[in-house]
Amino acid sequence: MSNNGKPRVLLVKHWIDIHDRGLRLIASRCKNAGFEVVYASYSQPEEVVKMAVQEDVDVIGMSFFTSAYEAHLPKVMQGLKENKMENVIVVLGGVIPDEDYDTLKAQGVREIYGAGSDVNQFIELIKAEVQK
Amino acid sequence: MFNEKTLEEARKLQEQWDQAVAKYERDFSSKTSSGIPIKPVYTPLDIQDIEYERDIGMPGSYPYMRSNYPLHYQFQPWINQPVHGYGLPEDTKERMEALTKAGMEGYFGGRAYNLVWDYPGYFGIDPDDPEAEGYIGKDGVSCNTDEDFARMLDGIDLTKNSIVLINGDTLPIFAIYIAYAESQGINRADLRGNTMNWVFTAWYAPNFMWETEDALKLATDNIYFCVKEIPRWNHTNIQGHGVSETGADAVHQMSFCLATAIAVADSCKAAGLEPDKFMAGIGFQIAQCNDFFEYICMFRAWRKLWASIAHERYGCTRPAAMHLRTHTNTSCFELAKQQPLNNIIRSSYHALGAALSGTTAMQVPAYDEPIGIPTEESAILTLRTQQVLLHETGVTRVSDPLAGSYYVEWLTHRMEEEAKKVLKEIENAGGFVKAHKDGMLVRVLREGCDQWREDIETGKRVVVGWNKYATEEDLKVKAFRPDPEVARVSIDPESTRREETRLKQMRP
Repeated sequence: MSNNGKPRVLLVKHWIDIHDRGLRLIASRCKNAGFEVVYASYSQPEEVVKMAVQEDVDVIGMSFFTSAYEAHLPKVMQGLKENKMENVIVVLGGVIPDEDYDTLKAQGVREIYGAGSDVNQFIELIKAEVQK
Repeated sequence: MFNEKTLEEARKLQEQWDQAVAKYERDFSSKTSSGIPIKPVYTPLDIQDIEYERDIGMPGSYPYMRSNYPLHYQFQPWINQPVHGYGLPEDTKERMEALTKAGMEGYFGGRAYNLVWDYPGYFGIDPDDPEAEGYIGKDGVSCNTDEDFARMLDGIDLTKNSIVLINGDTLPIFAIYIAYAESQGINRADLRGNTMNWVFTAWYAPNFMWETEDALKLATDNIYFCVKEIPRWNHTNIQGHGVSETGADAVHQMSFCLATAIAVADSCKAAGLEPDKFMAGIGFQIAQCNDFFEYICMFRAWRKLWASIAHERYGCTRPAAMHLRTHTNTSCFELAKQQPLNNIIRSSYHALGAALSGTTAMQVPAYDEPIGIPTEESAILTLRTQQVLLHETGVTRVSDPLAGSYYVEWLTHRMEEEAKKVLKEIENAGGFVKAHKDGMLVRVLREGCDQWREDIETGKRVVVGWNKYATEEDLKVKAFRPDPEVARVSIDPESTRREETRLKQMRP
């Protein structure tokens, strides 16, 4: 959390994944909820960890239009561990088949928000976990 | 359009109607999805200033509001252009063959293969580049060399069929395609097909890699090359569907696309190209969304506005250069993950709207796209949606069948006026390039997205199965997944994949 008590949320998408409608909505809702939002593109998963460290974030939201999380997520989780940032809440959003949810949660993903999810649940999660 | 006797009768009947509804003591007016106020009924009084020849005309007569052609579907129905592409080139070839077998038809006995590239291919990134990791062959085909093209297109006559290359930065894949065709002994001037030339889509999706002016220069170079070297090639696709998916309503989809096309055409003209030659290669990919009549009226107004711009601004006289060449890609953002079979019904209405609008080509998304890329079964079902509409409903009998409806003519006229207003605003802001760079256009799209979502959350906008008539358990649709071997084989073309894993993935 930043000095002013606001949760810090990193929202990322790979730069070649151009479907950003969902993530931008989340960004605008987080901003309206009073969180500090860092919205960024990355070209390799290691950059997500670097940004998380530099920006000292509480939450990372990653958005995927395809199943690229299979390749990217393990690297992000490993990088967070190496930087002793296991407490950071990692959530995923986008087009993610239901049958992948269990595997992703086992890898440490806190929540998965697919099409038609309730945005407020994400906001409430941050309020409950970071602002407590 | 009406004589005084008819208008007198209309005024009398209107008064009677007013009295009949007064007892309800409620306002029954509503608004279209673009916010245009709508009354419960329209009469000759609403279109009394519309003149038949000047404002409506005949199909095939300038400014082509009713249709580009004197005869349309009676002579040549819209063509099927289902988007397809995934995995390795041979996977996509299988899908091409499945769609062909299912009756996919293009112009005059040929076919249009509407091939979509994976994300790395969108930008000309090789599969062995670390940036491509996780994206190879996932949401489009991984086709990166002339050998890949051979594996995908072998046996297809590239001079009779239309090859549509869907990728963003256009030039890398297009260059390889031309090299492949020439290696087959084909003269490049005989090629038929379509590039997207979407470098300037950077104007809407800011994570594309080019600055606005540079994007425009690249797009112009591609057009210059095509006009000189491949005269029948459709070089540019103005992506209304993308603008719509990014948050535009009907008025903004039409006006932002027209403003885009004007910027492209200005640039081509400045490069010394002749409008009557290059304008015919500019096509519009149009999204047909839920608001049934509004999108039909948008389409009619769009045809008229584009023809007027081509003629008045650029001095075009060749009909093909003034025609709004259209590919309808029915809406995706209107589809829902909840109760996914409902999407078939939504898309069918969108397709009907597109047919009543007189589109020239159509792609209907599959019902399972909120879950993943389409299975072979769902991809063929999108083709069936078009075929049932074409062959079973009789919609092709009459061109522009809604013409003359008081409501449709009034709304078409209103859409035209609204689009002109936005075009004026963009012009006043210093032109399209500047309006984009200043964020003026993107702001409209973001607000559109936020408003759409808010309207769903408050129930103002109903999505059946999501915010109304929701069920505890939705039908579980298993996502289609390309073979996980794709990335490995794509990186190392010498390797072969394990067939057993492929078959298992193909038929879960």
